[in-house]
Amino acid sequence: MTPETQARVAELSAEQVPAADDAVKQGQLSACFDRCWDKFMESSPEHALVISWIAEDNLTHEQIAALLGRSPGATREFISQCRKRARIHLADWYALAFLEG
Amino acid sequence: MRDEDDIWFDSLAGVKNDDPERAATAARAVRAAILTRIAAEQPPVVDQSARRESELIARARAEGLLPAPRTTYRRLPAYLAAAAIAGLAVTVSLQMRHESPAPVIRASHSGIVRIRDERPKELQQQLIRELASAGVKARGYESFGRPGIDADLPTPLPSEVREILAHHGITPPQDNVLQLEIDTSTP
Repeated sequence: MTPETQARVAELSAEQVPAADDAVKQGQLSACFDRCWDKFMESSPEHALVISWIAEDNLTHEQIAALLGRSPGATREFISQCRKRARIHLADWYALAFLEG
Repeated sequence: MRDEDDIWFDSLAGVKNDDPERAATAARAVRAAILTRIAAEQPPVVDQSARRESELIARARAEGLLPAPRTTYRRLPAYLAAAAIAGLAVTVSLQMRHESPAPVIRASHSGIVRIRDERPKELQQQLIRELASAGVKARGYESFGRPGIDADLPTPLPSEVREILAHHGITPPQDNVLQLEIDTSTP
């Protein structure tokens, strides 16, 4: 292998295989999310559930309104509340994910 | 025009994956974390080689090539068995109590008006009827056993609707989305 090829292989490997530091940070992030999410589920089960519906099943506003049995306006308000509550309950995780490193 | 909530919603649902807004970045991260969590909760696939090993060991035992596994337990005295069963019952009941869902308490800043009445269900139906007579379609729902109503009120708010709300001591909502839940009043 030429030095250029070796350098390119090393570059691609670094991109595709997480370094040990990355793996540790991913583990910490994942554990932090689990802790925050469990507390979110405990204190605002309806809001956490609707967020998981949106993420997992890609539900639309109309589908959520039908599931909640609420009017379109009330559903929009509820979803807005979901976002606000997520920001509060996932604050530690946001800080770890976006502010540190 | 899309507001921040719409951007957040679309990114959470994976509809738009290239929005540079901060709300979108946060929503994409939440989506990825939820999907990772769900994937981790899936039951693990049975390892083929481990199953094959168990099958071979079982076959070797059946053919007398390996000795049968020894059972090392002894019978407990009757009083110890009774104590163990009682202990297990207490543990299970404590765990069941611990896992019961926590009550949901909604703060007033959520936009939901909370009122009390001796007959919440009847008041819910009465309000739906009264609002309907004023041309407002209100929906009844129940949240954790608490009757509720929501309705998109017309803008500007007709005086008739304002009077109905005032009659029940309800302040008209600022955004004209009425969300109301009725608790049972304690006598």
